[in-house]
This record gives sequence, C-alpha cells and structure tokens, in this order.
Amino acid sequence: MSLIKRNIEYPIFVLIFLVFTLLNRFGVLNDYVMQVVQLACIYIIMTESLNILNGMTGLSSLGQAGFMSVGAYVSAMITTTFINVNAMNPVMQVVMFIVVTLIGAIVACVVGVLIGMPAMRLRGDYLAIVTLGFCEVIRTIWRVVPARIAGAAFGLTGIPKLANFFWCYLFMLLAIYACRNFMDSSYGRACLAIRDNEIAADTMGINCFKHKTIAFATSAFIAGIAGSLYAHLLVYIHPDVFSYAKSSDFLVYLYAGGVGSISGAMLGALALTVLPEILRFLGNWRLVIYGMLLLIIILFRPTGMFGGREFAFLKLKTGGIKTFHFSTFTHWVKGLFRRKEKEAATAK
Amino acid sequence: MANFLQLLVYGFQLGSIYALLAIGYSMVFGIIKMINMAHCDFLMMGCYIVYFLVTVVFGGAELIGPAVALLIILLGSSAIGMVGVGIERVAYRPLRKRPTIMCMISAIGVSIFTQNLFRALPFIGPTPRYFPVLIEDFTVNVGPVGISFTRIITIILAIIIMLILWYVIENTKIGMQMRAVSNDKDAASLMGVNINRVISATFFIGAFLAAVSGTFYATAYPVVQPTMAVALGNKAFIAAVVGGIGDIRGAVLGGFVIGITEILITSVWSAIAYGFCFLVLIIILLFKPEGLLGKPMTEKV
Amino acid sequence: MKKVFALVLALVMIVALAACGSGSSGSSSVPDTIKVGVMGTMTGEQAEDGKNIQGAIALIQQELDAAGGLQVGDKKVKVEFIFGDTEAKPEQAVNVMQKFLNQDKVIAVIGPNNSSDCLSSYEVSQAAGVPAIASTATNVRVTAIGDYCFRACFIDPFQGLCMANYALNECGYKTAAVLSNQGDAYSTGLMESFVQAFEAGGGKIVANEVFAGTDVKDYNAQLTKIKNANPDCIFIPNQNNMVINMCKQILDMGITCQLFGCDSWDYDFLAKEEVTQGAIYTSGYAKDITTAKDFYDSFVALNGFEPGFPSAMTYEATKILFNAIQNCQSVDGAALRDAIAATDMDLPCGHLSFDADRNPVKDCAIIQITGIGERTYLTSVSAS
Repeated sequence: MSLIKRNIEYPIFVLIFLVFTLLNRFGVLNDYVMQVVQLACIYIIMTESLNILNGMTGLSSLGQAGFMSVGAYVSAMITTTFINVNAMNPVMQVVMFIVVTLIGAIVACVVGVLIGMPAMRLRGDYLAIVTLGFCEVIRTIWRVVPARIAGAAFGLTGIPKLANFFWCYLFMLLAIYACRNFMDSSYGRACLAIRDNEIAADTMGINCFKHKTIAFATSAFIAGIAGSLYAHLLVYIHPDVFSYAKSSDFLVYLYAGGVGSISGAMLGALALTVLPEILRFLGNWRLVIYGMLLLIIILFRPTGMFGGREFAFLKLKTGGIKTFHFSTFTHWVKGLFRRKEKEAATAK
Repeated sequence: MANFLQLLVYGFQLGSIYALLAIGYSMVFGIIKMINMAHCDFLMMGCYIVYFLVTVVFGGAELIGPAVALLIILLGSSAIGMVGVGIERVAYRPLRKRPTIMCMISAIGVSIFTQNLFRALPFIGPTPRYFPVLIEDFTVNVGPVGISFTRIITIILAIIIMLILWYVIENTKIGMQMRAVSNDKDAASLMGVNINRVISATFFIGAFLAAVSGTFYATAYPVVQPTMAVALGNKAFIAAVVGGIGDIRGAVLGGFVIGITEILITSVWSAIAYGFCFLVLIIILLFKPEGLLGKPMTEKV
Repeated sequence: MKKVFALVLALVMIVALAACGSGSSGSSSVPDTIKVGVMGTMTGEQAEDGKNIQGAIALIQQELDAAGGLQVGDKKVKVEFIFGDTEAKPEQAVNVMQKFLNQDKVIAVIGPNNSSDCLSSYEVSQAAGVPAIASTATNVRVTAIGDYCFRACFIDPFQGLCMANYALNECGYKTAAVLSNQGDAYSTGLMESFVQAFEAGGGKIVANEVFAGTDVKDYNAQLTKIKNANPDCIFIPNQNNMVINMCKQILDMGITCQLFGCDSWDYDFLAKEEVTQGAIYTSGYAKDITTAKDFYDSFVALNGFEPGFPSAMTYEATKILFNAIQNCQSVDGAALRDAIAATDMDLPCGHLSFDADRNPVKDCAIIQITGIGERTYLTSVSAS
C-alpha cells in the first residue's frame, strides 16, 4: 500500500490504459484513433532511444531507423518465415511474441555495438553522417536478402498481428522507465558528463569508450523492441519504410519536444505523430502546412515544446535541459572570451 | 579494357554533377558549421524557374540561341540565390546562437515545405515535366570511349567554378571575410566583419551554384519533379563529407570519387550500389575522420 | 503549471482525433447518402497517379450529377467520395484505411493504386469486412489477403506473359534484355513473370539488369552491359517518372532496338516525349478500343488531359462497385462482397468478370507510341 502511496502514478497509468480500452470498446474512440495512438506509442519508444544517444550522450545519430529495421525484420522473419505462429494457440502466441521481440532487440543491440564501436571516434556531424550511412547499408542488406526469407522488394507480408494497445502501452512505459533509470544511474551520469564536455569527463576518469558503447547498446535495444512492435502492428514491412527519412523524422520529434528530457521526447513524438492526421482535412496542402508548423515550432520555441522540463512522476535526480554543443571547440572559444572579458573588467 | 575506360568516363560524368552540388554544401558548412538539408531544393527550384522561363516566357527552347539560354540560366539562378538569402534570414538566422543541429531541423522543415508547396501549386503540380534541351548534345568519340558533350561542359564547369571560388576566397576581401567567419565567428565580428552580410553572401553563392548545377543536371536527366533532387542531395552531401567538408577542392574530389565508385560498383553488382557508396564513406571516415582533404580538428582543453 | 498544460495538450490532441465520428453501423438497406473511400498516392514521386485518380472520380461525379444520383432499386442515392493520401507509404495507407473505416464509415474502398500500400491496408479492410477494389495494384498477393479484396486490373503474371508472347510471336524476337527496379515490388514481379514467360516460349534473356531503387537516376553502367549483349528488344517495367530518363540514356548510348513497357507507361505526358517514340507497352486500357471512346471523350472534355491506365481503372472499379450495389440493393459488407464477386458486366475496357481468386478476367491491350502524344492501339490479347 505504501508503494502505491509513494508512486501515485502507477494506478494513474493503469487508469489511463483502462480509460482508453473502455472508450474503444464502447465505440467512443474508434479503431482509427487507437491505430494512431499505438503508432504514437511506438514512435515514443523510438524517440526515447534517440534521446539516450543524442540528448544524454551528445552523440548525434541518424541511424535509429536502421536499428528499428533490424528488430522488425528479425522478429518478423521468425514469426512468419521460420515458425508459423498463426497456427498456435493464443497463450503460445503471446509467449512467442515476447520471445521474438527480445530476440529482435538483442540482435539490434549487437548491431548497435558493432556500429557504435568504430564510429565513436568521430565527432558531431561526422557521426551523424556515418550513422546515416549505416542505416542505408542495413536497408540495402534487407533488399538483397532473398525474397523467400525476408521478402526483399515485395516486403514481408502475412506477419501475425500480435501487437495490440496493451503491448504498445506496456513497452512504452517500460521504455520510459528504462530511460529514467538509465539517466539516474552512474552510467547515465557518466553519459551526461560526456555530453557536456568529453575531454573533461575523460580527465575525471570516466571511461568514455565503455560508456558510449553502453549508450549505443541501450539505444539499439530499445529501438529493436519498437521495431518488433511496428512489424507486428502493421503486419507488412518493406525495406524502403526504414529509410533515412524516418530517422530524420525521429530527430525532428526529439528536438520539437525538447532534447535531453524524457518527457520532451514523449510529447514531441505524440504531438508530431498526431498532427499530420489532424491535418488530413487540408487535402493536398497537408504536408505544406505541416512543414510550416514545424518551422514555427523550431523558430519560436527552440528549446522544444516542453522546454526541457520533466514530468514530476519521473522523479529524476539528474538531467534537465542544457544546451549542448557538438563541437567543444566553440564552447572553449566562448569560455575564452568570457574569461578575457572578466580580466579586462578587473584590469580597469 | 575499353569497357572499363567507358565506365570510368561515365563515373566522371556522374561525379561532375555531384561535385557541383557538393561545393554548395561545403561552402555553407564551412562558414556556419551547418548541414543545409534544404540545399537540394535550391536545385529543384532552379530547374523549375529555368523551365518556366524557357517554355512560358520564350515559348520553347527552339527559339532561343545559346546566348539567351545562358542569360536565362544566370537570371534564374540569381533569383534562386535571392530565395536562398531569404530562407537563411527567415529560417536559419534566428537559430544562429543555438546548437547547429537546430538549424538542421529547421532545414528539414524548409525542405518539407518547399517540396510539397511545389507539388501542391496547381500550375507547377506533380506532373513530371521534360526539361527543354538548351544545349545540343552529341557524343564525342575518343578512341573506344564515347563522351557526351554536355557532360564535358559540366566537368569543365565544375573545375572552373572551383577555381573561381578558390581565387575569390583566397585573394579577395569578401573571401578573407568568409575565411575569418569560418574560423571564428565571434572574433571576426569583433574585428569589424559584418557577419550577416558574409553569411548572406555565402548562401547566395551556394544557392546560385545549386541552381546552375540544377540546369546541367536537368540537361542530363531531363525529368523535372518536386522530389527530383532529394537522392542527389544525399549523394552530394556524402561526396562533400568524403572530400573533407568545408574545403571546396575536397568537395570536387569527393564528388568524382563517389561518382566513379557508384558506376564501377553498379557494373559489378548493381543491387548494392547505393548502399556501397555509404560503405565507402564509412571506411574513408574511419581511416581519415576529417575526409580526404580535410584538416584535422584539434581540440584544446 | 507547464506540465499540466502539456498533459492537457496531449489529451486534447487525442480527443481531437476522435472528433466527428458519425453514427450508423452497416445497415442492410441502402441509406440516402453512401460514402466511398478513394485511396491513392496524391503526393510524392507518384503524385501523377493521384491526379489521374481525381480526374476519374470527377468524371464519375459528373455522370452522377447528370443522372441525379445512383439509381438503386427505386430510389436515387447520393454518393460521397472521400479522398485519402497514402504518400506511397504502407504505414500511411493503414492510417488512411482506418480513418475511412472508423471515422468516415465508408461502405467500400477504391484503391490504393500501389501494390505495397494495398498489401498493408487490405489486412485492415479484410478484418473489418469491408470490400476493397484495387485500381492499378498488379501484384499477385494483393487479392490473396482475403475474400473482401478485389482488383480491377490484370495481374503481373498475365501482363508479363502477354508482353513476352507478343515479343516472341508477333515481333519474332529471339533475345531480350530487362532493366528493372530492384527495390520495387511491382517492377521485380513483372520482371520475373516476363523472364519466365519469355524463356518458356523459347526465347533467351541475354541481360537481366537491376538498379537499386528510385534514387538511382543514372543507368549507364547497366545499359553498357545491355548494349554489349546485343538484344533484339529491351523490357522496361518501371514507374512513369523513371521511364523518360531511361529512354533518353538508351538513345544517347546508341541502342536502337525495340523497347517494351508495361501499364505504368500509360500516361499522356509520357507519350508526348520524343525519347519514348516507338515503344510498345501493355495496358488494360486503350483509347481506341471501341467501347472506350465515350469514356475518353468525356474525360478529356472534363479534365483537359488524356486519361491513362490509372484513370481508367479507377473509373472501372467504381463502376463495378456501383453495379454491385445496384444488384444486391444493400451496403452490407458480406452482400457487397458476394455481388462484386459475381460481377459480369461490360466496361470501357471490355468485358469483365472475376475468377476464383478475385482477379478480373479481361483483355490486355497492346499499345504503341507512334507520334508525339499519339498512343496507337495495336491489338488485344484475351485472357483465355
């Protein structure tokens, strides 16, 4: 009981889930809304994974779609090509779903480490380009794998629809709490230090290589889970779905919501997934207005819609918004000028 | 052997187009340290403006000679240059104090906006249009290989532009100001350099070059569509990085490297050609993190 | 305070999505206004298809207005068309299908035009029991999803067979080369069926080249190999925006053999280009088919551009649906499904009936581009 009293948000999560499910059952919220909400949950998970890399460790990554595709394809291949899950009874289906999601996430994690290890020497924008390159290389691999196994140009059809609102919601909550715990742990604090000033962190004895690898691994793992959910929700995946455009979508969600904060990532993903659907009444001009709104959000609220603050229920002890610089060189120059001004002031 | 030489020639032809566009990416990154994702849209807008000037105002390419065509290209590209300056003022200037990745997001927004605007406007519309033939193309046969005349012009143009820009940046006052701003923005402004003017000039030149390269791109691949330049932009961007972003010679070199690699790999296993170029990029960056001609970035503590 | 605001904002967005969901579940009698969903690629690389689709629906609307509505039994019913843009992304197609089914409460769906979009969104319509008729999706697996999935066009194996037989028998070619898009289901499927049929008929495929997706614009390396193999003809099963580039590069390289295409070549702007002159392609629609004359004249009169395969197929799919509604006099999903499956009617492109796999049994037209803007109908291959 005291557990509930201390963490009042747990019953609230259950309540939100029940409200959504009941409203859907009684027809107030139709399946279209639920589809968009489930998609938003998956994108929230993806944006959280990007937040671990970008917001917490300062590693700009344009390759999240690649990790997502690894999770999606590996889990879908198992349930569709290798084992016929549709023939099993419902309990076994649930077990299989959890198992393939974990397998997909672990494979994505391995890929993430393999990609991260050589790429870590690079700074800032170069890292973004290399991760973009890896994303496209993975996409080419899925195109070349024979069609019998992974569908290639035809895409993988007939994936059993094992993901529903419960799983999307549950994994979203688990992902948010995983990110929260990561941020509050010693790993997370090391990553924040690396983000702020890598050389200083190195000087203080933080093993940058090890922590960056951990960040890549965690981020890829979470992205793999989201990929598996995506495949089993949409029951059809195609290599072109996981392209560079999708990676840049996640980047936009993260920055529009407020980089570095878990709640910001959540809100950015939710708002920008729902926005194009709301704008459907505009017909041909839908994406034009969407682009304009995006520009307005970035120009008038550069710290993101949520401004880098966190929800209270996350009970974070570290974190919060810091504008971080890709190039510590400019940071150093700014610091140099500030000191010079102070010296000039005191000299007078 | 003749086959291999012919493929090399095709690679040079493709690389020249990447080089022209990569120069723009390199210049903008060199000055304000920002990857302009909307650069490929300047190319698309340049193509559309020249297309409309030729077909609507002049009634078709048969009636105009090469001199008038050149004038139209210069006029259209200058217009796109002004559009580039305008976009910089609206979308990038307010974010100058922020981390550069915010400018990148803003560029993504600009890109979505312009591509869909051009598709939604009824008189421009989604219908792919055939770019009018401004330069009569014929194949020059040097021994066993055939080179297209327009491509020769494109290669020469890329090299000439590179030399002109090199001269401007090394020997003129505005070039010196550009170098100062790219080295240290705050110190340059303290020295009396008008940062806004320099950055606007950079964007003007970048957009102008993109529009000119767009005309030559459309002469070679004459389908004009709002989404025509997206893939090209990605490739040119990789080319700029491979060569060493911030350096114009590097952009041209990177363009040719990527073009030749793509054609050679396509002739061996065409299915992986697109991904293989990215692999080449990754390998080059892993061994030389600043690109082929880039200067290593030193960090002082 | 800001956090409360943010939470409220999130909840408001979700409620906004749920807004305007109107009433009735499927009833067995025909209401006074019926809603039909039309899905297609209105934006993106294939936005030209969207223009054709909208033109065809505009023609249907004009015919309905002239007749005062759709005659079902003894009353006239108003038909409302709702458009949805799939952006050629399977995920968007699912969203649009969900919106059609749940928010707009359509009775049937026309489209999408893209095989990938069909494969993802027809799972939803099949599960919901709403019939859907694909306009130009030619991939075989689309109708295999379930018994509520139909299509108005022929399937890729048939199209590849027609083209291969025409090349072998009518033109007498012995060798062929193919250049297909390795990232596109339509292109790859058509390539496979052509190769199979050509080789089964005694021909030889001397070069089978692919390129890696719509991003590639330079085909010189592949074309060099094709030129060296010296084929009698080249088969180019690709989307309309890539065809012009390919034809130009083929001409520049000095390859003069016959070019063969497929239904994605059937657009008026393609026939107007110099580089495509002389090419022969298969299509479900040709303006010179006697029964298609009226359709052609009214389409041009209303829209100002000539119709192509997508417009014809959208028009026919809608006609099939209307015919089914008139026959079974109901908008119930199961009744409509049975009525559509039993269709046996004459359409602008010829006689149409559905086979056991819900694919239409109809003729395939062979068309040649004989002049600027001129598409000449050569012959028809019947499905039997």
